[in-house]
Amino acid sequence: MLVWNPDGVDDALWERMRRHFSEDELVELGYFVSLTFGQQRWIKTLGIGHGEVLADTDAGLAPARERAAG
Amino acid sequence: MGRVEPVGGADAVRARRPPIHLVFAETRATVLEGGLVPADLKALCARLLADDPELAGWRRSERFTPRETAALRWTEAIAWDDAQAGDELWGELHARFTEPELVELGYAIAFLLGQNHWLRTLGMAPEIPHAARPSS
Repeated sequence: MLVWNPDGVDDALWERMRRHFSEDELVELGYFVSLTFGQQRWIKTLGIGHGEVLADTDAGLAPARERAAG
Repeated sequence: MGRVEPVGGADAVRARRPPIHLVFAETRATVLEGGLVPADLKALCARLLADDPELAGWRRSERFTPRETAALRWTEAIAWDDAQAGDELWGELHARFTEPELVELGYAIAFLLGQNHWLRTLGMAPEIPHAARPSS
């Protein structure tokens, strides 16, 4: 919802979120998703895919795939 | 029960998690309002992200410099259509900005886009950083 329909979040969704997360966790999770979303949109304009830059470091958020394969 | 109550605005929400409040404050100081690219140019991009009606027709307007227009075009590509970021736009961006400026500007646009979406899920209006004050 945050990415594709942020104005469509309703009370039912918030109630579901509250069942699983504390308010502090919701703040952190929302901030994390928003930061990741924005950065990924930016990177798309650079034409860079996951793992194409600094793939052998911990710089990315999702380096696990290659490590799991190795 | 309900959303995270935005009492006191977006900063009050961020302050619920002190590490987030701190990292946002640093980003605001060093990327949004400080840095290499003038703050008023980044604020212009923020206004486009916030659907400011005063920017309607910006593509055909002569109010904006080529540098501002390039920044607005990139903002549009990041927020709504990355397919617009082709060789022609990149040529224009490289003609108007240094590479470090492009890194900063792109990061700022992306950061603001994400913050806006998050705040909209809380029923809050997009944020527009204060433009740099003209020096007197």
